[in-house]
Amino acid sequence: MAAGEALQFALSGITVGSVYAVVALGFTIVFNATGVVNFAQGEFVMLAGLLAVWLVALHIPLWAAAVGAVLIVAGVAAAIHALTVRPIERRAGHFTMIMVTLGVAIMLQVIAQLLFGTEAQALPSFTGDGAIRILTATITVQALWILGGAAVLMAGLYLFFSRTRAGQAMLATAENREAAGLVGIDTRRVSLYAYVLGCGLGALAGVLVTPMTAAVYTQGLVFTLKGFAAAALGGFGSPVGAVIGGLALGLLEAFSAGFVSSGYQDLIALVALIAILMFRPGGIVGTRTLG
Amino acid sequence: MRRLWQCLACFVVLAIALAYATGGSSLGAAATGAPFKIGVILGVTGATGNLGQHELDGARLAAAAINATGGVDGHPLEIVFEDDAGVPDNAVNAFNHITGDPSVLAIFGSTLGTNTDAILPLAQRIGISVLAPNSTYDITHHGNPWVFRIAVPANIEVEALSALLKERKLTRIAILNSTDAYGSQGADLIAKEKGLTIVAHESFPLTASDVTVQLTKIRGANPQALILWGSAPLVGVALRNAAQLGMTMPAFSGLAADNPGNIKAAAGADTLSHWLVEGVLDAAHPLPRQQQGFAAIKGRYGYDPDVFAAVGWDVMFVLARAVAKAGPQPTRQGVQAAMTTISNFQGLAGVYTWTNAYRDGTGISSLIWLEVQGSTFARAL
Repeated sequence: MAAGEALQFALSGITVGSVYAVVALGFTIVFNATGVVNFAQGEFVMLAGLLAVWLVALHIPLWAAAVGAVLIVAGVAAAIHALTVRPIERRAGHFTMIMVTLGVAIMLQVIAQLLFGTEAQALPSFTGDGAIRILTATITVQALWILGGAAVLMAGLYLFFSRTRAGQAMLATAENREAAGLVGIDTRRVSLYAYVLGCGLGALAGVLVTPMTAAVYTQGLVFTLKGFAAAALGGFGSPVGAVIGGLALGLLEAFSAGFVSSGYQDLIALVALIAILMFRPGGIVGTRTLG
Repeated sequence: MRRLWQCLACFVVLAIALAYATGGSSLGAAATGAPFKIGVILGVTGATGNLGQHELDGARLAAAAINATGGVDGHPLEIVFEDDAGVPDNAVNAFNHITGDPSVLAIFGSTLGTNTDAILPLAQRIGISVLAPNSTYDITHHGNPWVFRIAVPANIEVEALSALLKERKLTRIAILNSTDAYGSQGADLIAKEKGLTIVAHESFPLTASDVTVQLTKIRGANPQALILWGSAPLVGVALRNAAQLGMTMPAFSGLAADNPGNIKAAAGADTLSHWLVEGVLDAAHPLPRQQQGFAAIKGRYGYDPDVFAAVGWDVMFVLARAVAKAGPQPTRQGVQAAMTTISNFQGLAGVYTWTNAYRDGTGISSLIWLEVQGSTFARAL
């Protein structure tokens, strides 16, 4: 196997892994602030991709369509939080909450099918379809957008959690909801902000990845599963773990497809995930704290 | 707790309403007699949603066209539809539910060959014809007298591909197929073709969002042609990734890739200009036997009918013929017997003949090669 091919596999794995990492971050933020494992997370990725395509079709500039899609999804997330999470988050058990998020996922998929149809939709690349050669490997400009977007996002989240009152209120709520309430933090509002932020991250992943693939109403489940697997691999509840887990899962998939068999890439990646979790049940990072 | 139940109740009501909105089950009719019912089981949601929806579009429109001109001897055709979402268990449940009504005369379905395989033993047990829109080779080779294929079988797709590759002296080929039944079966059949050398064989799951890794390995093997065996949108994604890797060899795909979703997913990639895909009709120049169906589907739904919409359209006209032949009070047995006498039927997706011995309906003469011109497919050869 030529080194050039290995480099190509690594670039492909890091690109896909960055998307998984952003989705996993969304899972983590929602889980930490609300206690909800949001199995509708991938549907927000799908919804943002389809909305961006729809807005571009209305002759809205691509950048505005991308921003608009993320904002609309954030609004949808706020509505879903008000209708489903807020009324029951303090009283319902984990299984009830999981069932509710699964119900939301199915509902969003059906709505997307009705609104946008069943055909795959393409979104133009942000800055053209060019590719850049790195030694013997190739990386597309859109992949650089994904890598850059994910890096900026992670830096932004670090600053948000370490330098802003809202971020620290989320940290405090994640650490101990009751204690946070006692010191005057409005934990219900924090829950809303965290849910919208988490789902917004999914939306951002959606607008970044859609130009590389295509948007179709069925793709949400794949991102949910991959994002959840990445979060579990890194350490559920840890933002750093989500990033590491996402990149690790992307690389596992790419190298298993490249060096073993492309037909079994999902199988090999998930078996590796199970093996890692057997040795480190808490995931690679294994903490449940923000920051 | 009360609010929780209120929320859940709202969701259930909404979900049921949406489910009905996606799958209306009956059609208005100009004909005045008691309806003749046709069961339709397709995957209009889930992984096959795009393909199944086109099949349903074609079937509904054909039934409406038949009914608008008096139906079958004054009886309207009524579609009894259930969505199996591409899941075999759902297909079996839908089959049992639909055929529980003894007035349902025949079944059209399902979108996935795996699902059709699941319902065929049941169809043989209770005695009802199944018009199967699948290329899956095995379907018509189990000795089941109740199955009638209404699609070009996989071995014929591969035969046409092999002939073209040899004619163009492109014998060192690489295969990239989806890991579902369609992709795997096609790859196996291509690998068995004499005179072709497979220099690389890779595959991708239906969950893939990028196939750069597979194409990198293929590029290293330096094939003369790239065979992309799968459906939309992943064939389009593969074309896009191939262009990004600078791969310029000609590419070829089977019938399942004849779907505008692939053109959209490829997003103008250079590889589209040297990609040929098997199809059944040329949108720019439909044949006389294709003009009514083409105009109806294009006019109603706004897209050029692909093989899935065309097959859906044909099924209803074929069944209308069979039901008419089965006499004034048609039975399931009568429709099955009539199906074996249909010969040289001029359909939108092909010319069909079925007998007791020949169950495949149509063959290589129905196939054409398509290329991408602008944002649509047009005849290439």
